[in-house]
Amino acid sequence: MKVQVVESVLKLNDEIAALNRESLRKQGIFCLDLIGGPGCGKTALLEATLRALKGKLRLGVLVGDLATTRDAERLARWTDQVVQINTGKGCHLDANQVRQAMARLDLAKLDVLVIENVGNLICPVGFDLGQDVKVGMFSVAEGDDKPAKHPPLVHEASLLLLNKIDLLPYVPFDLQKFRADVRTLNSQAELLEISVQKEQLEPWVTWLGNQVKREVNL
Amino acid sequence: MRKVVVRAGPAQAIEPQAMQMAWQASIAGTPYAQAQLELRVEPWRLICTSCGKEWTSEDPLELCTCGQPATPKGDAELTLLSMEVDVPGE
Repeated sequence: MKVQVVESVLKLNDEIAALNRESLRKQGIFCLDLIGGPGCGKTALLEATLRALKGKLRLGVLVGDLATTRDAERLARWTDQVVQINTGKGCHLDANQVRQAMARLDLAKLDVLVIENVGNLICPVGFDLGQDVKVGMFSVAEGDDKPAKHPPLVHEASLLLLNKIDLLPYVPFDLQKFRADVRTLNSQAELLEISVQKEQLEPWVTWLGNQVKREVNL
Repeated sequence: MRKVVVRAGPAQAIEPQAMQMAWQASIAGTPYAQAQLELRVEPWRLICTSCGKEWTSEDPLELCTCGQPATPKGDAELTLLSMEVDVPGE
């Protein structure tokens, strides 16, 4: 006998993600899921952002890694609203891990919650965590072919960041090709080119301010 | 249970071979050890940015026959569509 079902395979995850989204909405918190490969500069971006926006925008961070609390320690220098999630061998975060970690934050103290996903351009894309937007992050050092090789992330992201643009003179990286691939895969998403190292963060900070409908200056 | 049919949108990071291997691993030694997984991974729907031609492809960056790039459309859903089960007495 054939039984028609039509149900999301990730139904449980999606249900918990909806609870997360509701908790965040109630507190008026804008939430983004930051997805990028290992070493593209996710934690460095958040460190620089926390430092630059201290006293201007209240950010909390949930940071996922297989092991160590190194990222949380780096971020804890700038905010006490940071929770490390160790996934063991897991290559992505799921909504339940985020829910448990959210319980350790004081949501009333936050304007923005950043979920720094495990360094991975593939698996995190498929899991709704309760975020408002997905942000895909690449860096010049990784090569210009990364968007073309990872269409799901580029297609699903609302914002794409290209970090380490200060390295453009030193490494083979075809910026026009990178931009064209991003545009082809996702004509709606904004693409911001930044350098965390050189503190060239203006477009990113302005974007963040726009999301919470507030003018934020460096 | 004889068969499970699952649909994956093209923006879902699903690798069919890996999914089949995971399926085999998870049903081994269970009452469903004979059950098949039918995985339907949808292709991207491509719409040419120049001539408007529409076609489907597994490659979201495939160029149109007119040489221009196309806009890829597709979802990231992973959906259980149906199950085939043995009904006692049938």
